[in-house]
Amino acid sequence: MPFLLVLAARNLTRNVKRTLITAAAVVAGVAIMILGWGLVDGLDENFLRAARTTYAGEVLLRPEGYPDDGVRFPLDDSRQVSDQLKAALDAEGAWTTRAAFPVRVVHGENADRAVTWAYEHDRETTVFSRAGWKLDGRWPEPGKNELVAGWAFGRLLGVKPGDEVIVEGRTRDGAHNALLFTVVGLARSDNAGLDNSGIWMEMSTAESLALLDGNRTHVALVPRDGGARAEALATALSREGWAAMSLAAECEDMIAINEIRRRALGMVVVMIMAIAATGIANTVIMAAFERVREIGTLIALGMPRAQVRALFLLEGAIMGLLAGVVGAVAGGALVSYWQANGFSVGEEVMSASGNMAVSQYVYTQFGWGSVFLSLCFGVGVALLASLWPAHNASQIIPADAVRAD
Amino acid sequence: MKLLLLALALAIPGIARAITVDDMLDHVDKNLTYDSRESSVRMTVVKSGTTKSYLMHSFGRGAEEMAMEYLEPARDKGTKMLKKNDELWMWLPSVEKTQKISGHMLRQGMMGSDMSYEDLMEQSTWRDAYTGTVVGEETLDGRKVWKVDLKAKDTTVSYPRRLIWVDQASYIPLKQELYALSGMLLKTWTMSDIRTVGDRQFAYKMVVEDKVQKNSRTEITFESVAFAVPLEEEVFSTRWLER
Amino acid sequence: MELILSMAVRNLGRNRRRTLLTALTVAIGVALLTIAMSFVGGVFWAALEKVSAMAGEVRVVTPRYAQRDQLMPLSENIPETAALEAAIRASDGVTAVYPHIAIGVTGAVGDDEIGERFGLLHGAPTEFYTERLDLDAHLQEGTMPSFGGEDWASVGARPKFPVYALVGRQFAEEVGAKAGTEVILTGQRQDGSPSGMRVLVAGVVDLGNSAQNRQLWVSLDAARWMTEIPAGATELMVFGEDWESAPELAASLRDEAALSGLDVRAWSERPPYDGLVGFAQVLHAIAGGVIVFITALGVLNTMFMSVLERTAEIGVMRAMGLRAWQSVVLFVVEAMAIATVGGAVGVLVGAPVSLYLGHQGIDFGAAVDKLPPTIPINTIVRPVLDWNVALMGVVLGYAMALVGGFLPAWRASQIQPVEAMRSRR
Repeated sequence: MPFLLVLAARNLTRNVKRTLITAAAVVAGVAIMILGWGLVDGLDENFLRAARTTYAGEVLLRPEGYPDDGVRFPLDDSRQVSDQLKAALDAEGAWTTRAAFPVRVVHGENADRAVTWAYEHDRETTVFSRAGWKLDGRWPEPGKNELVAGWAFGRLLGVKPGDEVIVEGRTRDGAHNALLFTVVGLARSDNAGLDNSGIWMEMSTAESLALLDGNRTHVALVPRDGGARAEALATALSREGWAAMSLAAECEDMIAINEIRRRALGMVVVMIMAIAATGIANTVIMAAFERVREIGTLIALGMPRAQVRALFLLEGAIMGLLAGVVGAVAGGALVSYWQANGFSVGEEVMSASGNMAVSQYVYTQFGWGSVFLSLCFGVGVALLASLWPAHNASQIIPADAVRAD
Repeated sequence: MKLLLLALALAIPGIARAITVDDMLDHVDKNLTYDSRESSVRMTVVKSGTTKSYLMHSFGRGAEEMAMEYLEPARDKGTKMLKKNDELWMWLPSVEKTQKISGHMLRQGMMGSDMSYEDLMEQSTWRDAYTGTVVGEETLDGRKVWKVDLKAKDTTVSYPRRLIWVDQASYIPLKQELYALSGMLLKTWTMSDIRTVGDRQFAYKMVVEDKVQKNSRTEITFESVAFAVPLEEEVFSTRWLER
Repeated sequence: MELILSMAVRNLGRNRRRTLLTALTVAIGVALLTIAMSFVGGVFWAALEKVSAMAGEVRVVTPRYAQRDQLMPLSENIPETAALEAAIRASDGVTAVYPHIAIGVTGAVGDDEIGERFGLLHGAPTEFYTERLDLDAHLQEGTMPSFGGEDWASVGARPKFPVYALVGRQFAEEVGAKAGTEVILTGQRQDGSPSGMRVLVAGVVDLGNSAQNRQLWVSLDAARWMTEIPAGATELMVFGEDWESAPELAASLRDEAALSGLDVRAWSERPPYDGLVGFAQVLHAIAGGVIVFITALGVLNTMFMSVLERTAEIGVMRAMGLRAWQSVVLFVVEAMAIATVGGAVGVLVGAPVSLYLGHQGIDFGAAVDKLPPTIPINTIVRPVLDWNVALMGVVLGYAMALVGGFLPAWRASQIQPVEAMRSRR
């Protein structure tokens, strides 16, 4: 067996050019396959990330009965976070609370309805780093009546940083309240819904506007060990009137949309591999025919036909493996790079998404699974492509072979 | 005893403050609330330069029931609304059918005006909801008024503070300033053209002005109003809508 | 030259297997390229074309309307459109202008509550529906109503004649209507007061996804009456020679005096579509590029191989007097012949498959329904055969054959004949 391996290896190196050209097809095919899957997985992650970094964290708690339609934000349903719950959250990782409530924002003659998102100044960035957000202006200073508007809402109302607006709303008990605010920034998050109708203010300001009295509508948690135990945590943290959901459960609907892309991509990838396969098959077949003489000699010298077949299969396998590895490395490297840095699909694609949370940056998702699968695919294709020529080669009659070509 | 005090108050300005604010508010409330009422009212809505005017005829029973028909403009003529407890029904002449309006459409303002149903329907009396302090006397539109600072008794009252100018003669709040919790002025509500209707005083003209959004106000002029009207039960039913 | 040609032909016949194999690679490559690109084209390009038809290649609205686009504010309408329509129609490059009104309505059948089911009502000239939206082609049941001809001017409180509507499937299902049902629509007039209208469902339309199917279409007059915009519209949709050059049309219309003060933009210049074109183009290019690359590699590979192994043969021919360049030409001609056959077969296979898939459609399933209505991707995607792509594939086959045949042949021809003969490669 080792003899065959050596022979196979030597054969491959004998015609480097041929080997390389064939291998190129496999490399490309495997790399593209990995990239493709990486992209599709990345798209799922895209939605998840947008939700995770703008309002949900890994585990999202809302008061029991609180509507999750994204349209109503009743302050009546807000609750306090008990000390026991706080301790439970502290034990798991970084967490923060938000209070959401509807308001009317008035700028001179214009008025539009918005949803206020009040955040805790010191906790907010431990959970929502805002790393991918773009801010024109700055974030509010605690203690001042300042707000940041979603960029699309700002455009609707016709305000820019520096403008003054009046925010009118109701306190938790139902009394009218209104405060004069300065718009200090326009923010573009990864969440089109927030950008279209949201304004951000510090919790202390919201407390004076809505008399929250410590009541909140959202609690977001990012556990120290990431999202692995999100489901279990969600169950454990649903208590004292709060209902918790893992990020995945929250984003179920959005992820379903990715099904389209998966299928589309699947089809494209299959086609690409088919093309690569023909290239490989072609080469192996050609190689077999061109070495007819050599094979004839081998058989005449006593090599069992089975071994001849094995030899060709082995050549195909080695080439497939090596090429596959190169392709996997290339594809994997690209996917990893784009996972860390993302490539931008353009800002306006986001606004096409209406109220969905879609990120501007597409991050691919590296998965050993897809690397392994792609590799196997590469080897498999090479092997399959070699089957017929290998068989054929083994049937050569030495006398004919020597006479041929 | 109170009547005597009242009489004295009317005669001698200095003793005005002898009336308890609660009593004053009682009177004000009495003028503003009713068991049954029939009225014809013209409503004009002004918003950023555009003006729309409507003429409505309505019946009301307490806070729970109200039946209203639009008479003008021609396009709206025949449109009817019926509020019964928490349900709202509508009849449009362009459709000729009674339609129940589902819960979530109720939040919108009436005909695009500044007044939501809630504003109109708010019926808890001022006396129950507010603690008042008389802060002075003034003359408004040639009438003598008490200026009273009303502070809400609890946090659930819609307008945490109202500054009202109560006409000493009629106990009608000629002017109100409605304040937010923060002290920001939200709306002003003026009443004028005061007449006697039955055993009460009633303002035939009201103007509600949004003080937060510029150039936004609603004017209401009563063309006729009657209280303690015997109302057929049928008025507050869908059959009335169809007539 | 005839000698070379005949030699080429004979050579091709001599090693049939090799020839066939090479041709097969080219064929498969071209076929797959055709199918794959039809696929990409079908999804994105068709969607974009539909977008421009739906949203108007160029749209004219008031600036305030444009600013509050997403709210579709009725009050920010263009009060009188007749003169504007005439001015636009007289402009260069304009083939059609349609006034259009869109309002959100709630619908109910019988005694059902209103405010539960919502849809988007459109009012526009019939030609817009038949020529741009192709509603008549998407009729699922019922018939295309003959809009127009009614005397709206003398309608008082309520029209005495039936007001026909085409209704999207999703809306019809939700309110419980089918062809022949009367639906009560409640919307608003431009001043915000409630406005109702009874419509008779003439037909139910299926546009491919449930968001698109929550729309209704009535005559322009009906919509004008309902919203109380008697001579105007919320938008003017302008169409030109072709949808891809909409930006140029928009630019030239902006210079029209009659349109000064109005917001004039091509569909690709307005959110949310402005990013889509670039996105689709990039996707198109990537998908195409990848497929082309792999195909090219396969063909090139094959050609290299087949020439390389015949180096000895080249040596023999040269020894027999064939000039260096002639031997190269020989191989190149062979390669082109293979490419021709391969390309033809590829198209013959790829085209019908694309057409078939286009006819059958590939079902993407319910997930598509969750996309916002501004992106009209159907539940069933139909690849669109682009003959240009097929042609490109064939040309590519030739190009690769050329390169694949030329290089090694030339190199082989440079070697001394004796060496070549001896190389056995």
